[in-house]
Amino acid sequence: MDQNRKEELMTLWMDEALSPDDRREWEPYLVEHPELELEREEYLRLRNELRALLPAEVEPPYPDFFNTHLMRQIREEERQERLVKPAASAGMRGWLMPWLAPAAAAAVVAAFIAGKEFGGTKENAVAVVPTELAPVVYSSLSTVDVRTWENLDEGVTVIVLEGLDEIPSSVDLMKTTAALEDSEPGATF
Amino acid sequence: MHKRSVTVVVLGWCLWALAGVAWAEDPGKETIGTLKAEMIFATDGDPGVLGHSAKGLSAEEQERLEVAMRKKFKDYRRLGVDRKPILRGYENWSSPMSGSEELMVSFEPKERVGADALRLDMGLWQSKQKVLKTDPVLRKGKQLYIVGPKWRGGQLIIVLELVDLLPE
Repeated sequence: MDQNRKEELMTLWMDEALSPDDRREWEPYLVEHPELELEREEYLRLRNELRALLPAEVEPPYPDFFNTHLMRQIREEERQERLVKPAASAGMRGWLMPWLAPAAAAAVVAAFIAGKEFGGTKENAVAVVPTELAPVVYSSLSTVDVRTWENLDEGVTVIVLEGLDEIPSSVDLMKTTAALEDSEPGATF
Repeated sequence: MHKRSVTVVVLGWCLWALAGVAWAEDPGKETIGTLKAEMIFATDGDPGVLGHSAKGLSAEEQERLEVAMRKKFKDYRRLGVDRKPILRGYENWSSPMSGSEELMVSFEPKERVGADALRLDMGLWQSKQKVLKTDPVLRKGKQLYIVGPKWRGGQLIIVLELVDLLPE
């Protein structure tokens, strides 16, 4: 059995989706590797716990933004793992990789829901997070293209929105400038 | 009649006091910092379209803006400045054009990043429509530039800055 076939059967087995033919093909390998049963139990336990914790379907308020944010966290997590384990061993760990991303995604969803349900206390409102990630930028308007860059030396970030509707010249933004007069003289950026 | 007036006044005072207590007891409404939002008009055309009330930028400000933007315009004018408290657990709004609601910024703290920076959930609204959602880290004294819509032949740029952040 080649590696691809092993991974395919392993995936089906983990998801309890082996056909009778697949099962016949898979079982001899399983007999040689009884430790896989433990891994599977752990995976099923995690899956069941997540299913019990999470609703079957949640529609986030901004799906595209949410997905972008999610993928960024998964990429960041994978990057951290690569830094910690530059030469990850093959075998069982490698086979479990297909489940890592969904598991991480589920964990982020769980955190999202927990935040929605339990946020708002003084401690939860502003958590201390030492890591700094680049901002996620998103526009729900299909006509708008968003670009961003950071100048790390200067510590500034620029977000450019291209394709926004031009504000009509008839709109007088200068009608009220009281705040300008209120600001301190020589106010800088 | 007099008795009824006294009752209304006393009732009003009680409600006012209760509202004050409710506000004071909500830690989410505590101010943890201040956000400054400025509106800059950058143009290669005639700044006279703005009238006489728009002030120019200092040479230092102009240079800083051009370096950040990687682009130069012939003229820059400051159209408005707004400072708003950042509430610990609630969204707040800033209108850099003072009373105008054409362009507004919504913001809410998300997480602290060290002692002098804050990640905010932020939105830019144009004509009451959300045109940008982002979650930048604002560091004290550093700017976030949002290049927004065009207006009267120029480019509107919103400059956001965390001017102070209380210790935890």
